[in-house]
Amino acid sequence: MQKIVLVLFLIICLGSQLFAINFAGNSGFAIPLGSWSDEHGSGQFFSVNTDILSKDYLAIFVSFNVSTFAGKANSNYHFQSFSPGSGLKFYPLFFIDNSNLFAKASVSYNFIERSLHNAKETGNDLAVLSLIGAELKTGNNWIIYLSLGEKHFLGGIDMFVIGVGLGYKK
Amino acid sequence: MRRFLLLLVLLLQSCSYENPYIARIRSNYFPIDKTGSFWIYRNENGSEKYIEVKENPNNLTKDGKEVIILEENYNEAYWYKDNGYISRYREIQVDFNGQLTAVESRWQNYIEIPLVKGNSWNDSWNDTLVLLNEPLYRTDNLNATVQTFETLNTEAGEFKNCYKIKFTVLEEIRSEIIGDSLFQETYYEWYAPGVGLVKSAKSNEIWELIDYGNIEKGD
Repeated sequence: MQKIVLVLFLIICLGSQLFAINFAGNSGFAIPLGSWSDEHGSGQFFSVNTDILSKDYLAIFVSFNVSTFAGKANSNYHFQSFSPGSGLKFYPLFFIDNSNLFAKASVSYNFIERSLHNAKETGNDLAVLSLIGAELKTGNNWIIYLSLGEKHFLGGIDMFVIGVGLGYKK
Repeated sequence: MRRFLLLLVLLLQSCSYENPYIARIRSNYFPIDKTGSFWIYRNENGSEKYIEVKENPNNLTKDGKEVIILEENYNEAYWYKDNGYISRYREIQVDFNGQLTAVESRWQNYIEIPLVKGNSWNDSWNDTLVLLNEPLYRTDNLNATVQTFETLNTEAGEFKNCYKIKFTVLEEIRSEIIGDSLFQETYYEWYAPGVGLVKSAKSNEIWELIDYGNIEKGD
């Protein structure tokens, strides 16, 4: 079931990119907040997303995110999540020269795996990602994204997210 | 419309629901480092044991590690929580002519953290010691596996997402002075999120948590 969801999601992503000719890749750090930070250190994430519908102040996008966290007290422990999601982007909040500020929110379904040596525990949860950021236009079509925000798993864990990305929009 | 969507995002951001998997990730299964925490257990014969985390005012260390002092019925035991393990300090004594003689002491990696179902670990210790100028060969082996997670009900309440750990210990001594001996035992322990040990079971003895809390919080 999980594989089918992932394949469908990638088809939507790629199809949307071809149709709308826009995509963005983001990478950055996620810092666990609260009690789960006792055993989890900061992690890296990588995400791709594409707008599937765009109006004058709003865009609807789909995204795919991969995150990985190392154990804080045990270097053999790893926490990974793979999360397709969809969300809304409000822009421009206001312009500064060739750039604008935006606010983004997405809901994602997270496939999570915790591993220690050869033992694995898998699970899943819904998460809400809220970001504010800036789009810096570097050419006719290329955009640099800077963003920060918070990802909240509905099961009760949170992380602070800071990222940088590159996008193409035609 | 714009305000409604922003409000919806804020609402979702503050939402939470019970997800057992996430609960296991965010929980501390070994809150043994909070001074004043206590646990009271009772076995099937009605005997009780009281364990309390004591203050370590003099920063007592063992082999360079600052200990966590757990007092069990007025006997102090030393624990340590770091480097991927909950470790306990073992002071090994052997019985020679009815008198206990200390032969060695060291940290034993007792539980590998964080707990993940299916994980196994081993703490093995082979030493040649000296007792009355004669060699004493000692093997001390601990194997443990996180078997499952389950809900437990004890007199202290219902505990969800408890990890069940199976321990197998083997202690072998070969000595011309005190003779050879072999001791093997299997037992189980259950740990609850935010609470710690709630149940332990050996072949002929079951201890269950009947009360817990923190003295400093007035529990």
